[in-house]
Amino acid sequence: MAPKTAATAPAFSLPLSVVGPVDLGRMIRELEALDNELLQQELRKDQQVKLPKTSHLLDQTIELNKYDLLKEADRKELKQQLAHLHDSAPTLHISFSADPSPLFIEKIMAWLRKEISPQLLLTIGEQPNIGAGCVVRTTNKYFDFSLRDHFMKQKVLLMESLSGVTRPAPVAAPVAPPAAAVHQKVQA
Amino acid sequence: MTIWWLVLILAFLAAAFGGFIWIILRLGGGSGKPKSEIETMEGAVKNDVEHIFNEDFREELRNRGRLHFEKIIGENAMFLQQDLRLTTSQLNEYMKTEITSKLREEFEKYEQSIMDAKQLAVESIQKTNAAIDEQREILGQEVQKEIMAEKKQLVQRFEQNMTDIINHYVLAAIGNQIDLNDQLEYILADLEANKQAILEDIAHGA
Repeated sequence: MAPKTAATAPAFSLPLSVVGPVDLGRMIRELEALDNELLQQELRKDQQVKLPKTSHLLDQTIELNKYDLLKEADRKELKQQLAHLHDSAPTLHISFSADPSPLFIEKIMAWLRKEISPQLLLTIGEQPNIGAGCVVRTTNKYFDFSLRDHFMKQKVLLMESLSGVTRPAPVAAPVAPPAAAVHQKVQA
Repeated sequence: MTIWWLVLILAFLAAAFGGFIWIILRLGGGSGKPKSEIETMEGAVKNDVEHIFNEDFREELRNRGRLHFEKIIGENAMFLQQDLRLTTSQLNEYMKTEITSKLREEFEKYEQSIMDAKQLAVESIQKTNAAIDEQREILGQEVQKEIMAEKKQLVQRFEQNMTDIINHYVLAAIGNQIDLNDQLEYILADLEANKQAILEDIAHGA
């Protein structure tokens, strides 16, 4: 199988389980280890070249992009693509109030890869003080979608409510009871 | 009155003493007439006088005068002694009275001075007490004013920070109770709302 070029081959796509630059780095290191292992097998002149067990991330990437890791050219190209993405892919940083589950991250990644960029990478942080929602940081901008920010924007409303509670109620003018009621009370 | 009596007695004694002196001088005085007939006559007179006032007679006169003088001196000395005693007693009384009155006056003045000093001290203490009361009143008002200002400032600070406190409390209270999966829809809605801005930043980012 000839190596895929940028003109002929479809764009390199990442599986949803590959989230951030850390995953890319891990796959690159895994590919290097795989190269070394296959080179050693070749030097030992083993009868049957056996592919070592790879990680789930790498398996998904290979399957998605149709690479054959037994071929050195594919491995090389995959490594180049991963390195290229590691250096130049658009990266977002999102902070949540708690540690998100993999399924949650996958859903977020699906939306981001679909709506923002198919090669987008994501770094995830944790800020318990935001309460709920998230804080998104791009290269130059900062988007605060947290409950804390929402509360801060509604601070004036809370101040008005507090002022209404703490302000003493106006003293009502004494109203004379109806004459009939007074008459009934006297009789009782 | 006693002083005048004393002066009178002393003058009387001085006059008596002068009279005796004059008599003695007259009796013992010499004669200086010319030795003429007059002198002869004088000599005769002198002889007669000497005959009459001979040495014995003179001596007797002298004795009588001496005795009389001594008697007068003694009487006057007695009078003088009596007067001196009287004067001394009167002087003692006078001195007693004067000293007593002076001491009484001085004591009265001293007592008056003490009373004045006491009055001044009391007035000064009263003024000081009034000043202290006034200062205490002013200080109380100042402290009250400071307390009110501090209270107002605290209330204002409390009201200003109350929202932060409530926010912090609500976030701490419910932050862990909201599941991230429940937030997914809202997070995606927020991302969708800001999608264009994110895309532009990624497209034009460094």
